[in-house]
Amino acid sequence: MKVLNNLDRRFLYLMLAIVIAIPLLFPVISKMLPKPAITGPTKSFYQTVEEVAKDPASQNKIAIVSCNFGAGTLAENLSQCEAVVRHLMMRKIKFAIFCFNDPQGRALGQQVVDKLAKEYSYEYGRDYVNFGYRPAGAAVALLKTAVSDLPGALGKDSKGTPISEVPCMKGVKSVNEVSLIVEIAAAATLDVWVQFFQRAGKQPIPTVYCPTSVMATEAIPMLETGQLQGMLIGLKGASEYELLLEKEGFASAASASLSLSHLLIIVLIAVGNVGMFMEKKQRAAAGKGR
Amino acid sequence: MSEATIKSIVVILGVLSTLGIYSILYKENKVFRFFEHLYLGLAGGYAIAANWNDVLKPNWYEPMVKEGQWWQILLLPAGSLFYFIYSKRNGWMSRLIFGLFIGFAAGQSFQGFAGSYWPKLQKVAAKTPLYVKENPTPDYFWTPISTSLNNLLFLAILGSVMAYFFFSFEQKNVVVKQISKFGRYAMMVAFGALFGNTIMARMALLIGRIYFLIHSPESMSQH
Repeated sequence: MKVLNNLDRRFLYLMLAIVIAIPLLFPVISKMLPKPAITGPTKSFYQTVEEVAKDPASQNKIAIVSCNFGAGTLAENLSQCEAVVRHLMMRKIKFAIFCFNDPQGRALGQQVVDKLAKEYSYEYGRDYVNFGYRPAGAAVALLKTAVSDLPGALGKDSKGTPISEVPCMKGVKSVNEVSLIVEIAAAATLDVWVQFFQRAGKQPIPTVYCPTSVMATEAIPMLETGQLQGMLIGLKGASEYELLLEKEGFASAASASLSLSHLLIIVLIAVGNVGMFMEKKQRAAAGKGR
Repeated sequence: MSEATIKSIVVILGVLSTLGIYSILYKENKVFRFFEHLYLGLAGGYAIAANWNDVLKPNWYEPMVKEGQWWQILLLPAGSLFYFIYSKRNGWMSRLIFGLFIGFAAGQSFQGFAGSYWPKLQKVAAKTPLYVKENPTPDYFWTPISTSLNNLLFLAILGSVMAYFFFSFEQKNVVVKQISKFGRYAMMVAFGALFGNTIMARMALLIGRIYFLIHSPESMSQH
């Protein structure tokens, strides 16, 4: 039992790396495992985008894809971003990339669009725009101004064109012409939308959320209260969404690794506890023997 | 240098950086320290460039220099006031701008609080019956009975957690003690859920990096 308790942590890291790498090296393993069940928040996320696509009024509106994440959370946020942008493109919804927390977000969002634009014949200016980055400190003031004058508050896009002159922004004057808010976040940036923008227009704007798994628990009450219409919980949420879209990508490929790594952690916790109790028992027995 | 060569160099640097950072798992070493500082420097440099290119240049510098909005120059001394915090003699000047911004933030926090909590209160106080006859979300696996039980559990946990944090008098009464104990267990379950999600997030990040390492030769050849 001492061996268990004194096991070098580096062996555990190695085991974890092997468990994660095997399904990625041999995709056949992923195919053998059952597909993840689609959870309620993912279903309602998908449904919200579908409803926006079906609403005729949305044709003259713009969806905002807020990419508030950086390279540190690529595995979770980039796969969520790709799944959501793909869905928007599949349904021909006009959208704008925007970020106000991490400046890397504007480039990462653009990277996703560049990857998918050809497949869905999306063109910059006509179908989407990149608002670029604005500093977090000014986000509240900016969004409060954007409620009544969206192009005026944002000024120019990432290419230096005044936002009012971008073709897909034609007719978009205020919060009332925003069809959907998609917040993809690695930090607590959702509140800015919920507190100052979402309900500032004539109708509340449908808002969906893609947090990292760590942040998801805190946002669950917002699903109950109707402040959020859907949520993709980390990489798992992204893999569920890929299943709904029937377009498997990184998240689907990684879901087997995610499951197996969790299984390993559970086994290690169990083994560690067994080791601890056995050692306690041995000590107690040795104490009685003296 | 061709685009393909540049991309290959970028991928190789990415692989080296990833391995360099993960070398900390073996033991503390200078390679890890080097890449750690490199990452911080890169992120800082990128943020400065992004702030200039996306914020200051199009919204302040160009309108001021090219579009005749000369008055925007006044923002420079106003913004510079922040840096007087480093001066012992003139530190008071920074308080002017800090005070202004704290005032803005205080005002915003009122609207922020209302925007965040009012819909929650409205929903809980006016729209959520304790006992439900029909499920509001038909595709959920909850039945009306389990939803009602869930609502009761919510109230029980709310009350017991509040009892746990009520420190105004000593909790001697057996009933209060047991309620407070239940509150503690309920919080432990919540923290367990949070911890489980944290593990999932960390695993996802590791999977992302291992995926990158495994598929880096492919990404180098995709030109």
